[in-house]
Amino acid sequence: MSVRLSFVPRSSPIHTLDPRTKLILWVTVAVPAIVSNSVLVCLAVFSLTVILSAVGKVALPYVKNLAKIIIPVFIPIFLIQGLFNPTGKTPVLFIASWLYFKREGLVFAAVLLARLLAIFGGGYLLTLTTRPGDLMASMQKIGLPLKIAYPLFSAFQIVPMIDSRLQS
Amino acid sequence: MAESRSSRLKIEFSTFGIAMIPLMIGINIVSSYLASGTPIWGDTLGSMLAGIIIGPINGLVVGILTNVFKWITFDPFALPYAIVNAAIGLIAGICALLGLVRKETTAPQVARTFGISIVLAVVATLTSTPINVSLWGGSTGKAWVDAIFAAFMAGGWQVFPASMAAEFISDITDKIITFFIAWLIYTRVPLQFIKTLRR
Repeated sequence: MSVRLSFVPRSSPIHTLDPRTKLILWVTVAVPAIVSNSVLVCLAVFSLTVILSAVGKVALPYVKNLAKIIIPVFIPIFLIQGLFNPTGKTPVLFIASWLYFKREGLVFAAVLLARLLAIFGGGYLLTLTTRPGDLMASMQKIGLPLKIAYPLFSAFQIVPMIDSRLQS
Repeated sequence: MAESRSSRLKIEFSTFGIAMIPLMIGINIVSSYLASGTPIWGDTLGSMLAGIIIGPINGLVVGILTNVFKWITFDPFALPYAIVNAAIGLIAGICALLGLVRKETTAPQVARTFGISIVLAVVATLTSTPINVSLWGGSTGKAWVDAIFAAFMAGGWQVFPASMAAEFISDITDKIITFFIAWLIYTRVPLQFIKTLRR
C-alpha cells in the first residue's frame, strides 16, 4: 500500500469541469452498466471512460492502475466461476475428466469484469482528474456538512505522514 | 441511552470528537496495511475505537470516511464497502453505549467482548455478502477466503450461500482479533482523555 492521491495534475478539459458535473457524468455512464447484463454494453461504457481519460490526459495511469488492481483479483474469479459456477454446463477446456471450464461460468466472469470496469471506471476517472479539496468544496455546495468534510480533508494530511513513517 | 439525539450528536461532534476522526481513519488505513499479509482484514479497528471511545455516530462517520479516503487514494473499488465499515463502527458504538464494553479485564468482560465480536462478524457478513456477490461474483479478494468459497461451490452450493459462509468464516476470525485489540486499546486509554472527549 502507498497512500498517494489518485489525482494527476494536468491541464485538460476534464480537469476544468466542475466536480459535480463529473459526478453526474459518472452516474450517467454507470447506470446502463448496472441495468444491463450485456458484455458489449459494459465494454462500450468502459471504452467511453477510456476515451474521456485520454481527453483528460490521464489514459496511462487510468488503464495501468485499474489493470494493476483488477488482474490479480480476476484471475481467481475466472478460475472459480469457470470451474464451479452452478449455471455452467457446456465444457470448454478439460483439466481432468471431472474438472473442466464451462462456457456459462466464463461468460458470467467476463460480464462481471466488464460491468465492474464500467461502473467504477467513471468514479476512478473522477478521482484522477479532481483535487480532493475541489471535490470536498463541491460536496459542501450540495449539502455535505463541514463537520464531515473537515475530518476527511485533514485525513489527507495526516495519513500520508503516518504512511511515510511506516515505510521508513 | 438517556441523552437526546441532538445532545448525543453534540458530544460526538465536539471539536475534540471531530479532531479524532482523521486519526481514526489513519488507524483504519494503517491497521489494514499491517494486516495485508495476514488472513484478516483489520480495516475496521479505527471505526471500532471511534465507536467505543467517542460514540456510535462518530464510529459510523469514521467507517464511511475511511472508504471514501481509500476510494480517493489507492482503491477505486472501496466505495461500496463504506456501508460495512460504517455498520461496524455504529454497532461497536451502540454496544459501548449500552455498557457492554468496559475498561476492566475481568472474565465477564472478556466473554462480552467475545460476544460483541460475533455480533460484529454477523453484521459484517450480512452487509458485505450482497456487495461481494453483485460485484465480484461472491469472491472476496483474500486468497484463503476465496479457496473456501471455491470449495463450497465445488460442493454444489449456490453462489450466495457459498459466499456468505466463506465471508462469515473470514469475518469471525477478523472481528474477534480486531475487536479484542480495540478493547485492549480502550482499557489503556486514560479515563481523563475519554471524559475530555465526551465533555
